[in-house]
Amino acid sequence: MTQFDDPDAPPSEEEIRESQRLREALDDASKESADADLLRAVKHAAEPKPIAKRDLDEAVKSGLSRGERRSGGVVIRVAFGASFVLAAAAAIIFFLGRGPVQPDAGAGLAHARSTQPLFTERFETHGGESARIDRIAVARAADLRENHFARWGVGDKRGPK
Amino acid sequence: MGRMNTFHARATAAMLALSMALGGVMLARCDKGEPVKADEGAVVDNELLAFLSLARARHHEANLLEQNNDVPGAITALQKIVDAPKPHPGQRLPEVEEVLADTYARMAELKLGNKDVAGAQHDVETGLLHVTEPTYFRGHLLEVYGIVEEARTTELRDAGNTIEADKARQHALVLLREAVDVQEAVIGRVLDGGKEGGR
Amino acid sequence: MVRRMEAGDLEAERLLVEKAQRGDRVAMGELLRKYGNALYASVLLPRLGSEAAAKDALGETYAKVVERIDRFTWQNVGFYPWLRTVALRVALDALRARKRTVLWEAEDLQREVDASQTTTPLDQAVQEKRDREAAKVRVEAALNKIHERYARAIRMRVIEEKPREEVAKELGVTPATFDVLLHRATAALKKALEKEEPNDSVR
Repeated sequence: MTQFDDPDAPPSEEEIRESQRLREALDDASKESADADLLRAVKHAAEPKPIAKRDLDEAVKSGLSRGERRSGGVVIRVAFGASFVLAAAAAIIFFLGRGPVQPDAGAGLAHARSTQPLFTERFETHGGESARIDRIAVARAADLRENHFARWGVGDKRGPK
Repeated sequence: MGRMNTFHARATAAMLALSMALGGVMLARCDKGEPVKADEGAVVDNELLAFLSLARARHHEANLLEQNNDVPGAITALQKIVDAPKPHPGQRLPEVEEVLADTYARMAELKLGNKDVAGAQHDVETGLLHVTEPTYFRGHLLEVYGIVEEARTTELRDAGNTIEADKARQHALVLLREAVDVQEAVIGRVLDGGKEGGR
Repeated sequence: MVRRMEAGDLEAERLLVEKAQRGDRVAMGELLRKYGNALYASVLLPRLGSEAAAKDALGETYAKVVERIDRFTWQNVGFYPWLRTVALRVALDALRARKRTVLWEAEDLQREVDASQTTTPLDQAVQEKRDREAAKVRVEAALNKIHERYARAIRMRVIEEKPREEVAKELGVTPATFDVLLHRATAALKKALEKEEPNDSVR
């Protein structure tokens, strides 16, 4: 019978020494012990303690500087008042490389968007797909018609659904 | 991967003077080159409608083939939607993504009916990549995936592989639970009158 | 009841992310700090099993987030799901580099990384609760693999942090005998974990 079968079997000398080492390592984290580490891992999984504020601040500081170095960019410390933000929004902010921009910037036109709002009830478990694509196609065809009218300057300006 | 941030000086002299007067703020931006968000980019146009019309036609074609008990034919018709060129390449239009998700869900169900469990699994997993936000489209795919996993459980049990069968069964439960979570999230947004669909 | 993010909270967070993407360091710091404890206590610490390793991993997660913030696309599910995925990847790299026995195998963590990219992103509070529950389940599963007496010794001394003498008394042994019992319990746990097959129930 091994110690795995009988927890209360008399210990060997080596077991006594190892158990002492484990006890000391559990009491003093600076002492190396793979077994103590495993027990701490169990504790951290079962009852993880929150991170200390000081350690969190350190991680944020370190992450910011390392991340900025790796991206090679310069992160600017932004500190200005609300009035400048408004002026900047009007005159300075520009978007670079965000993909093709429609020449008319889509003002007043219906844009591509999720079709979820067309459906107020959850989908049936089986089937229903062709009815849904019908509804989507009909709704977007109406949008297309409105967009044509808007571009031609005719028709009303009801917003997309 | 890993683009460098660069500074661009497109502002006019007046803008430069303004920004210098206010502390020399510069905006650094890298060229994302990423798909345009729906609310910034594509306007509903002929290209999008052409795709939706094609998808609609193929789904109805699949209806007729299913009625004639031609399941492989129905699957082929739906596969043509998935394989068709997409409008505005490089952009992820929500309508297109949602139609693809629904198409994959339908193909998966048809393949299940044809005892092609592996094919069904591939379709639901691919479909889920198209709809990552909590919508009914995603909830429906998760539900179908749960059903696929139930079928896989049976298949594995019949083959005598009880360990893998148990894992598949557990996965089915996780998926069905997730489907419920998604449905509830959508219902919650509807009741709150919160953001619907659009980004 | 777990409090989910309201629409107003989401919008505020979206604006914060936009600011961070435009280079606002203060906004970036605020985002990182907001979710630091969730990442540390529910993602990194349980999986890495050591406070030092978890703190290192948190710093590395933040560095990757700062480096790649321009690639993040807002999807109305908040910032946390993406942060969590980055943290899981960092934990996976750390786990692969270490040779100690812990409760998570690299394969388990790989599956979690894959799942985080294909499953529905959840509200941060919900996800955090699930992560913590999953970690507890994993601990119990490991303890259920060993002799009940060993499992009791570990639960009382390590998880409940009861004093050595008190646990020894409850188990009906001397403190010195309890030390041996705990040593054997640890050896049994290590043996059970090393024999365990990868858990692939989460995809």
